[in-house]
Amino acid sequence: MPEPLRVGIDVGGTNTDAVVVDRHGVVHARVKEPTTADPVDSIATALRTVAAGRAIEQVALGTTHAINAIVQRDGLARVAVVRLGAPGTLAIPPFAGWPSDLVRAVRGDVLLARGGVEVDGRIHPLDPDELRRFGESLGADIAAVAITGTFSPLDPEQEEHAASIFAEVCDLPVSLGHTIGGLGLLERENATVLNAALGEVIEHVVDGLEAAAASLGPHVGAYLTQNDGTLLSPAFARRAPVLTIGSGPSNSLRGAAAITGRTDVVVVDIGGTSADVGILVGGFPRESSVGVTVGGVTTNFRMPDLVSVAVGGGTAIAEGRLTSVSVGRRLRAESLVFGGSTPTLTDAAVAVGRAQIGDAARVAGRDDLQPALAEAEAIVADAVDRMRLSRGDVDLVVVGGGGVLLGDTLPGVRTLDRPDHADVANAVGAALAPMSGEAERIADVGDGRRAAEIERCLDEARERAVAAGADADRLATVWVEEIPLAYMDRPLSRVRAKVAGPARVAPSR
Amino acid sequence: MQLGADDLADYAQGCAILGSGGGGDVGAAVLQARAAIEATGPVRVADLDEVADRELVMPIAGWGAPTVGIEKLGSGREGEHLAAAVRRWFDAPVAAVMAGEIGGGNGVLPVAVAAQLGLPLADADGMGRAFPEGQQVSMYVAGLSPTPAFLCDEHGNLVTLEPSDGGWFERLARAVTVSFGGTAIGADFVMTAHAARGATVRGTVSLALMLGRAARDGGVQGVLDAGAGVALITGKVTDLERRTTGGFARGTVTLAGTGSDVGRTVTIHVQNENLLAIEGDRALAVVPDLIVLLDEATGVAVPTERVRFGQRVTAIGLPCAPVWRTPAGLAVAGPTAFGFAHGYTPVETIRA
Repeated sequence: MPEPLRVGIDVGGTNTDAVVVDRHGVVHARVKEPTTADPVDSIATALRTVAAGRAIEQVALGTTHAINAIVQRDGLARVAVVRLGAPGTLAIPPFAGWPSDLVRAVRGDVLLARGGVEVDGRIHPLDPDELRRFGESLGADIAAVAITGTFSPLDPEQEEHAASIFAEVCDLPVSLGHTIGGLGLLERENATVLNAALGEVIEHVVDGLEAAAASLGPHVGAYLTQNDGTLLSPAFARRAPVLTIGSGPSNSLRGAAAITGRTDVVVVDIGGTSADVGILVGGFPRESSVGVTVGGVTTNFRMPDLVSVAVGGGTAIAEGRLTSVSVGRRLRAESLVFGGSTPTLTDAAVAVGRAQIGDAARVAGRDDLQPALAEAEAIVADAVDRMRLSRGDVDLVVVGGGGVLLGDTLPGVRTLDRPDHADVANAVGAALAPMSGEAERIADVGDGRRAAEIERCLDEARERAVAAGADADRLATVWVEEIPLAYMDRPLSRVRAKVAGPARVAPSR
Repeated sequence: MQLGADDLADYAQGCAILGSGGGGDVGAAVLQARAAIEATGPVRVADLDEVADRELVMPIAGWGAPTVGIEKLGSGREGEHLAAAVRRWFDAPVAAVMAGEIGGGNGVLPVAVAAQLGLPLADADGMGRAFPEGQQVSMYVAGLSPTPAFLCDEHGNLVTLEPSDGGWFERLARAVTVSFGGTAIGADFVMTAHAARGATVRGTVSLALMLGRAARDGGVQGVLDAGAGVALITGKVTDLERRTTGGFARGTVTLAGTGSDVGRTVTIHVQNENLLAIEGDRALAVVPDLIVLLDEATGVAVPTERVRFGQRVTAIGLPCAPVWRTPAGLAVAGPTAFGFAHGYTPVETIRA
């Protein structure tokens, strides 16, 4: 029997890419389909085409559905918001700092309920009647409930208790803060509310993915990719759709790692409108140290740390200089090499012989475009520079369709690698995404307990990874963090850990 | 002068600049101040001369660990509890709220408290910047007593402290904060307006607002003009070293000059705040003068924890409040108080 293969699918605004790879990252087949109005159709078509006649064990999908719904305020559910923490936390109400159009789309009834947990483990009791009355009072326009309690990542029991009370009095999906985000009450609450609002948006995509995977055979695993570039099961994705919003950049970065076999390298992904520079550390994207803003809302999601600059294949050139405008998807209509009238960076790349796209004769002798290309290179070199972890030159991997814009040398770059299949790195990253687990504790690290407490946190993370479907024997530590807390009567630290590893192979039939 | 909801972004940016790299995040304090102003209206900013001699000024500051503060938000009634305690103790009402520390989030929190209490915010604070320790305030330098001091939490608990000196105050306040669960809001050095006029750094709320507006309208040059500052170097971050010891974030930031500063290298020493800027063996700016990293393009202050490799910044020096240049002020917050061997020279007299 041939080695089982994996499919990765990347649904973009223009194209849906699908690749078949083996476990070593070798690409066996690839296909590009135009993304259809209902993307589920292009997912099914791409999968059918690329998988034909091959033994597939797993399909993984990277999708921008959830982030698009938030950015476009489209299809979001109205959410009742419950915070457990009163009389604390009343100084800043839910939805503080949200854009007003998103508030109008999402805000339902709000309850600041008694309860909450302290950092030292003390619990302020709930008032079950208060929650019951609120649940019973909710109108028909409310489609979901978001519950967030203070310090719930450290002690989720009270959020779960509150959820059980709601289950008795109303039949609504409930999102719980500790399943969505880490410490930082407002940011976790924001993410939990967004998650609740996304319930129906993701449902259709997950159903379509499962049906498409099932059509390949009864034991084909279906997964979605999440913010950190690891896999979510369909069941988990339905409960936590907001975790899929940042998967795109992670998939590109990890795809670049897989194709090149490099684990510590800077990656630039150049598309039609922008270039994103990120860095892989130990095979994983380095995560940003500050929370990410999603559709104007502050969250505490850890997403790949990216520097994005407005340099892409469609970036327009005016009077020999770069502009901030991109022709984007209209490249094949508006750029010079395709017979249009807008000079773009693609035209400049063709003019100097870096790219063979469209009709090179149309840009013959256009030396005036060259300064803009040099300008673009300088901007990318600058972004690469900002991603460095230490002094000295870096190794750079170039992926994405716009990679041809760059020459073979850049200031500050030691080696520049343009691997095969660089234009489908995103789908390759999805295909090879591992499973992960994270844990977070406030631990007493005094009297030499530090190592044991860190190990305990790692164990929790491992348990979660295995519960998500990872192979327990092949887990590796992604990061461990320890932040000592001041103003405590004991040496307490906030300890966090993340592990990841490949999915368990499906049992043989 | 009034502080309205629309002024908060500029004011907070000014507080971030005066934070000198530290002072804590302003984000949550802005949300709280906005909620309070939307409920009760803009806050009047009063010069201390507008407050009658015998009336009371209540300085406000948040205590505690940032990691706890991001979960344990206040009730919004802490100011009310503190003002009631002051009234009980002095048998007189609070006439104005003041920032204990204008730099960072502690400069913004008193705006929320003033709005909630319907009181004016004094155009003054106890530092004119941010400092890491409780006794590094102008009221201490002026010989005022921290007694009585009040600390309260979001559950309505309130503790009155009568420490015998600044050292005891720090120790007792810390113990109370621990038992509250890691954060507290405090009022200390409560004083008459008469005493406050000679013991505080005046005009710092106006200054913060002016600096924030100057950054928005004029970037780095705007901040330099508004704050009578000195550009130390414009360059990019080429080295970063960070460690956490004794509850402080310590480290160095190295800047390599760009543009007209090509060839120069300046190293900034950090302990929560930026304390010392050195070129070769020559100090360009020394605590208690303010050393601020501004984004080269926007003039936005870059706090210590957000500095990263390759970042393009201009390091500027701003003269500190005159109180810190007195022998008593330098003893409390001069270079030797932070363990540096460098002598103090006012930043505007050093030629970069």
